[in-house]
Formats: sequence, C-alpha cells, structure tokens
Amino acid sequence: MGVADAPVREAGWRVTAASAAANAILSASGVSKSFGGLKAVQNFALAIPEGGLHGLIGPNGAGKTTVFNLLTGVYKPDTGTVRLGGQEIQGLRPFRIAEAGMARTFQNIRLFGELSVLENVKLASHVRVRHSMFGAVLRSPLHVGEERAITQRSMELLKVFALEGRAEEQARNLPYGDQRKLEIARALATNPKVLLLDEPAAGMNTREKADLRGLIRQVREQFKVTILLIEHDMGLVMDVCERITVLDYGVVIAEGTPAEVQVNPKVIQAYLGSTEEEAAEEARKEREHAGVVHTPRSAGPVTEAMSPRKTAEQQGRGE
Amino acid sequence: MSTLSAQADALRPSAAASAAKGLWPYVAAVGVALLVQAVLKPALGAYDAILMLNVGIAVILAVSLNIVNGFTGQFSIGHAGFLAVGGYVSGAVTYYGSMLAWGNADARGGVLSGMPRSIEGLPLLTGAELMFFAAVVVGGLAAGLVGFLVGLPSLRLKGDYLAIVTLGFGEIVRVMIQNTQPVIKTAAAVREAPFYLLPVSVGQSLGFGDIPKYNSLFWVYLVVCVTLIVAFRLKTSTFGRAFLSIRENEIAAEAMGVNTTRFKVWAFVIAAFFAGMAGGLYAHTLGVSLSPVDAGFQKSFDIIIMVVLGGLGSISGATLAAVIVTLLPEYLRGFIVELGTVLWVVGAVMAVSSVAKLGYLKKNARPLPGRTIGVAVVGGLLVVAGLGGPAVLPKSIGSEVNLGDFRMIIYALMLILMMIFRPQGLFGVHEVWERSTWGWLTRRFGKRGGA
Amino acid sequence: MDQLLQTLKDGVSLGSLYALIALGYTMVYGILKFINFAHSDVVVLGAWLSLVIATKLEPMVSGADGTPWWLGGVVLVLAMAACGAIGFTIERLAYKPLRNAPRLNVLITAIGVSLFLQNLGQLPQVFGTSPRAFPRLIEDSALVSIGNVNINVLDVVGVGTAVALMFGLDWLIFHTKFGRAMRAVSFDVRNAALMGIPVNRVISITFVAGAMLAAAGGFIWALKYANIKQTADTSWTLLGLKAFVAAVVGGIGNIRGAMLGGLAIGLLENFGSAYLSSSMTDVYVFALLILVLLVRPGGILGVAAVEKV
Repeated sequence: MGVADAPVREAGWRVTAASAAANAILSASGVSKSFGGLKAVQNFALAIPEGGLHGLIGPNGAGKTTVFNLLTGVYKPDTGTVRLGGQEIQGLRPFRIAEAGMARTFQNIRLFGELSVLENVKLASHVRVRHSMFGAVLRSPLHVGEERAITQRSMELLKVFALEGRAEEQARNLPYGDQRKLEIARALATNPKVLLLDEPAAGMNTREKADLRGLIRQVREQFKVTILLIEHDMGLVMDVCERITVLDYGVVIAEGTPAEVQVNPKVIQAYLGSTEEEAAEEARKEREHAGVVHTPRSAGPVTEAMSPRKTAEQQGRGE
Repeated sequence: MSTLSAQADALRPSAAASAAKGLWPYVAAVGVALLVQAVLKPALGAYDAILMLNVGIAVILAVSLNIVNGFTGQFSIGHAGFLAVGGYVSGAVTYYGSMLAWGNADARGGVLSGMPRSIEGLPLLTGAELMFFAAVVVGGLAAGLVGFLVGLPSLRLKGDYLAIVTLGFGEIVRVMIQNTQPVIKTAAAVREAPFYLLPVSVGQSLGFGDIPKYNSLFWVYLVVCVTLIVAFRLKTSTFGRAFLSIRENEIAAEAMGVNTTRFKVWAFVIAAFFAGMAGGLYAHTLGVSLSPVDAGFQKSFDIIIMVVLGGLGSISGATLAAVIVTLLPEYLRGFIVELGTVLWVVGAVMAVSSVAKLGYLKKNARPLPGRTIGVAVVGGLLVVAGLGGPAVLPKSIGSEVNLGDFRMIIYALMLILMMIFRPQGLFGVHEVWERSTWGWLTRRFGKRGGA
Repeated sequence: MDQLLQTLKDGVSLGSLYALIALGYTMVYGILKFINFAHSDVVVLGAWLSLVIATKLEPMVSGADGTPWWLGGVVLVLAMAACGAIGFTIERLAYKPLRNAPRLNVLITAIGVSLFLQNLGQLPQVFGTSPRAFPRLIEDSALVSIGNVNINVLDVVGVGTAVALMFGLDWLIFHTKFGRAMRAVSFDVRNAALMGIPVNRVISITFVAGAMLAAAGGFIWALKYANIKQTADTSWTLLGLKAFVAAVVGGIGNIRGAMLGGLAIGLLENFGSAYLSSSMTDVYVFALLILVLLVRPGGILGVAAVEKV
C-alpha cells in the first residue's frame, strides 16, 4: 500500500490527550437532536485526535447510534457543530461527508445483498472517481484506468480481510462474521480519514471477537485512519480504545481513559442500577426523556449488564 | 492506501488504444444494422419485417425502462409518456421541416429507409433521411429534458407514491396532446403560420399520421444496438454499481458516497432519452399514426410487463422478454381452441400438480393446506366441465375460445404468478451469461436437496 | 349564479362518488400499507354485475306499475355480496402470499390483478366489449329546485350513500372491538398477531369491505351514467385513478380524508371544467396530486410521517 496523502508521520504520531481538542480530526460540540418531544441527544461533545481510537458506550437507548447518524449526516443536528479535519460538516448530506473522508458501518448490516462481495467494495470507490458517464459509455482512457485501479484496490482490501477467495459470491450468501468484515472493508474503500464502526462485534463468538480486536488495530495502523466505535462488549472496548465517551439518556456522563471510566461512579450507576433516591431521580429523567422504554437493568457484573437488548424505540426504527 | 487517482493514472491506457477499444462496438452496431436491413428485410417479407421493427422498438423501451426500474429500483410506470413526447417532437420536426423545405411531407429517403420499397436508383443516404434521424435524436433530447423536469421533484418520493406520480405524468402528457391544434396540411399554410404554433399543431385526438415514413430496420436496429451498448457499459461501470446500490440499500449507498438523488434523476433522464428515441422511430414507421393513447398507462403497462418478466435489472432479460411479449400475440392471434379442451387441460394441470403436492406433504406427515385442496377440487371440476362439453356448460359461453383475446389475461397471470413464485423475474438482476443466473438450477438439480 | 350552483351541485354529486371509491382505497392502504390498483376494477365489476343482475331481475319483479322501488336496493346488496366474494378471493390468492414481500412486488401484483380483472371482464364469454345500457331502476326526478338548478333523486342517493357509509366505516373502525383490531394490524402486523388478533381474518374482512364499497360505487355510477362501457375501457381506470388521487389528497389511511378528498376532486373537476377548460379536467386532478405529494405528502388530514433511520 502506498503512503497516506497526509504528510508522513513518524512513530510518535499519535498526539497526547492534552492537545487532542486542538488537533482533533473529528470534533463535535453542542450537538443536540430531538424527535418531536423526545430529546434523543443533548449537548454532545467529542474530540478525537488523528490516529486515535475512541469508544462510545452507554446503556440501551442512550443515543449512541443517533450520535453516529448525526455525525454522518443521516440526521441534521438541531444545534451544534461537527468538524472533520477542520471543515464543518453538520447538516451535509451523507454522501458529502463520505467525500470529506468519514465512512461508517451499520448496526444492522446494510450490504448490497444481490451484488458480489467484490462489487460491494468496488462501489465504495465511486466517491473518488473522476470520470463521467460519457467516459464510461465510450470507455475513455480515464475510465479504463480508474476501473483497473478500483479492481486492484478492492482486491487488495479484500485480501486484508481474508475475503478475496469469496470475491464473486453474492454478499448476502456470506456467513454473518464475514458480512461484518465486508462492511468494514467497504467503508475503507472510500479512503476515509475517520472510520465509524457501529457495534462491529455484535453477534460474534469469542474467537471472532478476539480476532476483531487485532483487526481493528491493524486497520488503524495499515490504513492510517482514526476510529470511533460503538460497542457493548466491554472487554473489547476497554482493551482496544484509548479514550471512551459514555452516553446515558442522550447526555455525556463521562469521558476519559478506560481505567478512568471504569471506576467513574456515574458510569457504574448508569449500568448497574441505583438506590431509592437515585431511582426517583432516574424516573424524573425518564419522563423528560419520554418515549424510551428501558429494559430492566440487572445488578450483575458490569459486563453482563451490557448485553445488547434493543429498546422498543430501536425496534420501531427497524434497526 | 494511495489515492485512486494516482493508481488510475498509472494504469490508464493510451488514448489511441482505448479509442479503438471504446468505439468499435458502435461501429459494429452500424454493421449489424446494415446486415439486418440488407439480409433480413428481404428475407422476411413485408409483414414480418414490420414485426421485427416493432420488436426492436420494444427492446429499446424495455431496456431503457430497466435502467430506472431495474438498475435503480425506482418504480416508474409512466414510461409511455416519454415515448409520446419523443414521437410527437420528432414527428413535428420532420413533418414541418419537410413542409418548409420541400413543400410536402413525402418521404425522400435512400436505400436504408422506409419499409418496404424497391431500391432501384436510390442513393444510400439522403439529406432528408439525416434530418429524420436528427429529428429522432431531438425527440430523445426533448424527452430527456422532460424526464429531468419531472424526475427532479418526484424522485424524492418513495415506492407507491412515485409510481402514482409517474402514472399521473403519463396521463397529463396524454391529455395535453389531446389539447393540441390540428395538423396544418398545406405547405402554404405552414409557411404562413407563426413559428410557435408549429410544435403544438400535432393533431389532437385525431392522431398525427402524416409524418413521412423514414423508419426502417436499419435505423431501429442501429438504435437498439446503441441502447444495448450504453446500458451494458453503464451497468458494468462504477455508475452501474451506484445505480444498483441505490436499489439494494439506499441508505448504505448514500453513506458510501453515492449522491442518490443525482443518480435517480440521471437514471430517469437516460431512460427518458432512449424512450424518446424509440418514440421518434415509432412515429416514422409505416402504418403508424401517432395518437394520445400512445402516452397512456396501457402502453406503460406493456413495457412494465416486459421488464418485470425479464428480470428487474437484467439487460438480456428485458431484451428477451420484449421479444417474447411482442411476438406472442402474433402466435396467439386466431389461435382458436375448443373451450372444452382449454378447460380440461387447465383443470388437469391444476389437479395433478396439487394432488402431487398433497401426496408429498402427506408422505412427510405435514399439514395439508386448504388452498391446495381447493385448487385440486377446482381443477377436478374444470376437467369434468371440459370433458363433459356441451352437456355441462351453459350455451351462452360458446364452444370456442380465441386465444388472442386471452393475451392480456395470460400476461396478467404471469405477472401475478411471477411475483409469488419468482419475484426477481426470469434472470433477476443478472445477465443470461452470468453464472449466478443459473445458480438456482444447480441448487435444485445438483447436490441432493440443495443447500 | 345558476352556473355556480349547478357546478357546485355537480361537484358534490361527483365528489361523493369519488369519496365512496376513495374510502376503499384508503381502508386497504391504512391497514395493509399498499395501493390496491385492482380496486377500480372491482368498481367496474360492481357496475357490470349490477347490470347483469338488474337485467335478470327486472322482468321478474316489475309489473304494470313499473319497477318496484326496492329493486335497486336488492341489486345493490347482491352486487356488493358478489364483489365481496371477489375481493376475498383476490386477497387470498394474490396478496396473501406477498404479505412479507417488498412493496414494489406487491405493487406489481396489484397491477397484474387489475389487468387480469379488466381483461377477464371484457372477454366475449363474460361481459364482452360492447357498451350496454343500465336499466332504469329509479326515476331520476328532481326533488328540490333552487333557481334553475335541480337536485335529483340520484344526487341525493349518491351523496347519502357515501355519507352513510363513511359514518358506518368510522363507527366500525373507531367504536368497535373489531375496529380496534384493524387499527392494531395497521400499526404492526406481527405484533398484532402476537397479541392474539386474528390477522388473516382482519385483513380478509378489510378487503371484503373495500370490495363492497367499490361495488356500491360502481352501482351508483351505473345508475347515474346509464351507459356502461367495456371493463377495460380507459374511462374506468381513470375513474379509479381519480378516486385514488382523492384518497391521497385527503390523507391516505384517513376515512374523513377520503370524504374530503373526494369532494375536493369532484369540485375541482367541475369548476375547472366550467370555468377553465373542459378538456383538461384530468390534468387538473393529476396536477393537484403532484402538488400535494410534493408539498404535503400526508394529505390534507394526514400526518407527516417522521422517518427514522
């Protein structure tokens, strides 16, 4: 693979947390979104330095995928700004944001089922294509060159994910774990600066999850991308992420390193339940955050409490 | 990863090399069209030649509609509206152009034009003929423009609503044609008439039949080949992937950098352009009098049937279906069978297939669905009715059935059965030469029991 | 002034007919979320079946005093029953297997059913292709006169039937237990089934009711316009399309919306015809449709759906 288009970085290229906000490649501040009376996300803020690996966690219905949707242009934020590499991107359509260099995967796999594995990845190169339809219809030199390049790049990408053997298979015939990997490969084909992964480990077994940890790190190193991921598997998150933002009821309740977040009392409370006074406070918040039905939280260990259970709202959205 | 541009520049061929590779199919298209005109036309005789011509026009319409409905998954059911726009615009250009240039609207074509003519003493190509073809292209462009104006606001709508709007569009075109002025018949009147009046003097409901008849197998199959080449090259390019991605999963497509609105409109415009050209060719065909009905939903549904049966997204499927749907009425026409025979054959098929299914289910100790039992019973009754003949059937029904009447019923049943049993159509989104099209065959008859 | 009243009366009269047919579209769409293209063809069948039944029955029951007043009612009921059966069959055979299919497939099937019914109807063995005249079951005499404008029996019958059915449907859907089941199915088919609602029965009855409404519409049309054309004639499909436009304009899925939309389209057609151009009436209707879909897709009484990703 060639070098990134950005200036070459040496080994110490990951900036420290202190200058993170200033050097952030992806930052958000004051982002809020309401659906009717439901305040899905309030005053969300984020700053990820270039090359960073950031986690976004929170109990069910906390608004994590909504944040993703706000960052990638699926929703327009009611207030706030989102910046990608210095450029303001809030309110832009998703394809413009992909053009600007942010790509994502989806919580419920959204592959192009009838197309082949290779075609799924090739499609994602479209955003970088320069030739026009007239060029395609006349098979201009630029068209031929870009098609060859697209095929080459896509096959190389598939090799990284060990999918090149299945290149001609229909995407929907792939086993589940491979489909998830294909989604990541496809997102990478857009040549992004920032990669958003929405629950990449969902539905995977222990072995696959262990492989995924290595894969995420490898992707960051090899493709020089910044990664933001939503995940429920605490083991994976704590192991892989450098910093974590915790969301509850649409509000950021904690942000810091894995070690800091793990002992944060608000985080523990959000995941593990509370005393009676705290329960009354929760009920008040729940009325304000109307419409979201929460599954009862168990008082077991932190990891057990975070098994992904969809809220009625999420089911309603068809996720 | 290096940028796509850098890699592409390294891999691009020279201009000369790609010019040859890129353009040869278009040159071959001219050759094929010449061949068809030179060989097939005399071989087929007048009636069949016109039939082949209609087949060609149907192919252009089906393949063009396939770009919107098949590739991009947007349901447009007013395609005939573009046919009509193209036909009327190009017809007006040729007709009034001829009137102004030569004082009448007789065809002045060469060897390649018209159907059928003796070719003695005619030049290969005349200026008038080129005007005709230019008019056809203008018709296509006009239809494309209309496609843009209609598509831009409408393609925000989803599914059912888009379908209704496109249907409404076709009807609006039809009514607007009905409200045009009568055709101006004499050259003198044409010269006197103000310029803006000419485009709208296209005959109202009476039809526009005086257009000089330049169309021939050559011109039609030239456009057919070009349409097929363009459709195929688009489909196998990054733009084809973009169209297909919108159909498969619009949200993911947009997230991966595809400007879905722009592509949907583009699909609409390209499809409209080719439909307009088809309309232009149609307008100049011997025996055709363009009328407002050509914009109506019946014609649109004919094209839809072709695309759905062939497989939404398959160029070869749409082509094959267009051929079959256009030729089938010829074989069914005048095909008179005894009513009794029809009844007991249909009944036997129903009875035997449902009894077989019931037997299979019974053997595997599965519940027997009431619907299958119902079909078996009805099948049995039909067999009795058919064999019983006049003794069983009421007199008023008559004893003969003209299968030509049943053409649309057969198509309608095929549509319904297709959607239930094979919703992707004959070839699905794949082409006849792709392995994935035949996967279902190997799965059925290959390994025991399949996957 | 007379022309205004006349146009108004014609508009309301025609509008109530559209409303009747629109009710069927809106019900099916509301419960099953798809446009039943074949609905207008059931209207046609309703008209033709009424014709056949009336032609058969009339000689049997009329005597020297002319046609008994209740014959119309009997014909209507029989036609509604027949069409109800047809609606039930269509749903079971063609739509039920596609319960979980993508919407476009159902749309194509609906077009297929529509083409099937149209072309079946005009087979020589069935109704044929020649237009027939509808027997005079009710004397269309003027009941009230305002100036030079007459309000006839059929006008009253038309409007009255539409309003009565609208209230009936409204009562069914919002004040009965069955109606609650229908509404549950319209929100979420799978969960309704899990709650013990007999989904198949609800859907079948919805279709049957829609088909009966269509039959009523066809019957009234036949009464008013006497000359009935072949089943695949474009005028029928246009009638259905305009009724569908009425349903969308009023707010698809909304009963009162169907009524409102029907009146709106009826009035638009007649006023446009009287004061603008009479040959462009179809254009007015479709232009209104496109306007509504672009500006307020939920219709006048509809609710804009918030689409969540």
